[in-house]
Amino acid sequence: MKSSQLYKGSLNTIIMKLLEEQGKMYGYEITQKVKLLTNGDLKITEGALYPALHKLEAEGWLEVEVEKVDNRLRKYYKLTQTGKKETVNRLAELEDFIRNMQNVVNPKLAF
Amino acid sequence: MKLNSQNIYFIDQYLQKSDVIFVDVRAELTDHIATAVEDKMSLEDLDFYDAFKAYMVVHKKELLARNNSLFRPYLEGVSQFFRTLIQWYNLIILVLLVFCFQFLVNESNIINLNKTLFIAILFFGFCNTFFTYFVFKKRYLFLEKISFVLGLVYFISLIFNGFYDNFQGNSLTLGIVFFLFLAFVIHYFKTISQLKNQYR
Repeated sequence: MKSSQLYKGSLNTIIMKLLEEQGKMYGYEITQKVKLLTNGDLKITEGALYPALHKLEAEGWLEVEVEKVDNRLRKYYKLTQTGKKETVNRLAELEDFIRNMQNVVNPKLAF
Repeated sequence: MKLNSQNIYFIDQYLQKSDVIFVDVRAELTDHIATAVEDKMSLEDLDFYDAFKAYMVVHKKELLARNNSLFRPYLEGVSQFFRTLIQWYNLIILVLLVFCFQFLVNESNIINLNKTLFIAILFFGFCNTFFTYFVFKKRYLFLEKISFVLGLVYFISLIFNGFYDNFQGNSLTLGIVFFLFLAFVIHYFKTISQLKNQYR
């Protein structure tokens, strides 16, 4: 992952937002989707992604579905009902954060 | 380009030799590596072994990072278990248990109950270890995480109620440990049935 604390702090929210949009995703798919959306600027490493996914699962925000795909097992992650509610809260929090940062960094562009 | 079953087996064996002992962790990593290798083979026109080597040189350390983190998964298991307890009806069950131990069971039966509970915890731990190592012969991190919870229940019992034949607790502490053990058994079998569905 890009070596910035700003990105690291938002990793869980990024994952939850993607899952909210896509329904269910597997680990590699998440890394590729983020890379695509940020034009390769943000690369989530495996060492950051899986601990984040497993932590979200342990917290009850994500649930797992295992399917056999192309000779192997694939673990899909999807949001639980409480996870969906939590995503809404986290996105609102992130939007507030971006707005406040915008006010501080570039007041002329503030909305 | 899709990998065949020999390629998948090769990745699985490679991970096993890299000390990724848990079946569930290995399955997830195998799929991650296989998908990445398939992409690499298509994009760079490489054969399986070249694509695999090129991918692992860059990503091996990151991929195995979780495998090398000792306590984090176990703490997640504990947090997962305690989250299952946050239900209104659990409070009622706990109060009822403490009430029964306080008013409906006499002192000598309380001591016997502690002995039974102590043996039950140890027996459950023994059976779980036996089945993992001698019957299934496969280790799942998911399962070991909850076994760690049983260890925790055992130590809670030891601290609050004392050893098998040396009961030092009261109806409240016995009620709490009894409740935790019951909740653990339910959580355990729910996890087993989940695992069976996922990795059948």
